[in-house]
Amino acid sequence: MLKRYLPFIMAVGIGLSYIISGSSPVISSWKATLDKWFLISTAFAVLIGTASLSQVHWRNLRRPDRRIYSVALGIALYGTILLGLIQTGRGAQYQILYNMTIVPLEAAILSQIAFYITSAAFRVLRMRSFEASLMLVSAAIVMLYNVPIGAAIWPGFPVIGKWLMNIPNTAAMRAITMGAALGGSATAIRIFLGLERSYLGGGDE
Amino acid sequence: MPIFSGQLIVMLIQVSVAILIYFLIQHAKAGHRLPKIRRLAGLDAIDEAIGRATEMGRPVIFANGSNGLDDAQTIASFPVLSYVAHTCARYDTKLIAVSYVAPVYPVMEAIVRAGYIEANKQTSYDPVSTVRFIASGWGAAASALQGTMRRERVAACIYMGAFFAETTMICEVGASLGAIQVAGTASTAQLPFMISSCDYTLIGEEYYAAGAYLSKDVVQRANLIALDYTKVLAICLILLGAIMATLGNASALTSFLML
Repeated sequence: MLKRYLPFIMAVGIGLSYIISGSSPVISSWKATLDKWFLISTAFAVLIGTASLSQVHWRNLRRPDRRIYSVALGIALYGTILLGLIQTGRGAQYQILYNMTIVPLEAAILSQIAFYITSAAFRVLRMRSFEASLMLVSAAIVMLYNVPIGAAIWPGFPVIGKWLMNIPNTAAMRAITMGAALGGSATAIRIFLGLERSYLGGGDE
Repeated sequence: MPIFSGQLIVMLIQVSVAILIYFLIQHAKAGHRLPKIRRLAGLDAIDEAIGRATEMGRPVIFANGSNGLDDAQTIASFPVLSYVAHTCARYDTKLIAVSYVAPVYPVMEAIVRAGYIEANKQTSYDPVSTVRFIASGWGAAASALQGTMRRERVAACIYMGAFFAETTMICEVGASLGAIQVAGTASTAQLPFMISSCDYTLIGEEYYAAGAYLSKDVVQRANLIALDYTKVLAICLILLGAIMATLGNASALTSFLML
């Protein structure tokens, strides 16, 4: 009962008081306090996540097919934590570890995007329907607008390309952004009213 | 209670929305008919995707993006995960729910376990292989997700949440595997990639409505309808502002809204 309702009551109470503190000068200092609490609770959430992850990989050690991956994860996780505790994040070895592993690996993964975007563009730009044809023509004009050769071929490409980007594209993106903002508020209201409780980890109940 | 300048109308709108929601919930509980909600093909397709995975005997993968519990997009993914877990458990379909944010992982684990318990299939729930923390950060996660999808030969991919540069990579891998892909996000920069690679995409507000839409609960539906009325009000205000700005007289409306 307490496990179920205490987090919910805390979420509703703190959420509502946060909204009110943004509107009234009487309790505006409460907002700053809550912001500090948020940072502290986020740190604890990382701790819970790490503990839960360790638990799962501890269990994995009993399964020979998964053991090697769990050992690798454990060494990487606790080795980095230990090095960070000894040297802080600015330590020379800690920086080397980060710059020599994470940075080049992420760059290598990011480089795949060019190929994937090409295959996605090929799929979208096939002229299967009127809408797809419209998309193909618009994409071609916008591409020519973004390269110097476009203006050299025909001076109208930059004009049309700029219009496509500034008028229809901006209008559609703003509509989506406004819809998303209203949807986000709707989710917040659902949480405050207790209609959305899945974040407590127990389905819709 | 004193109120900051420009916050009065905002507070009045918030209170009005809460009253409207309460009224519609009571209306629904009293057995009155609620207005119909338009069908969202993307959410209806989740059943189809899980059904296909069941027929093929291949797993369903669920990913909820790169953001933490402080993002409404992550919170909005949980009811969908709950629904997917419950449906997969009911049909004995293998589910792989992946997280790449450490604090989100235990919440996902609890939701999936609850889904299996609700379906009375708690013995089928494998805590090690069902919910997986694959990596931290989008780069490593993209690599791990691609590998998982290819090794497990997933038949259905459900992406709900805030995604970043990994979107194209994972969606294209799913498309190359011939999997049914259902995506939902409010990240406008990633929407074009999802639309181009996935079979169904929930755009912006549709994504936030997913939880209430899937629940089939009358209270949740009443809430969704009340919030749609609020959206109508917001659209009316936008139109009014656009007309008044075109006529060169938007200051009166701005002054009113900034009370």
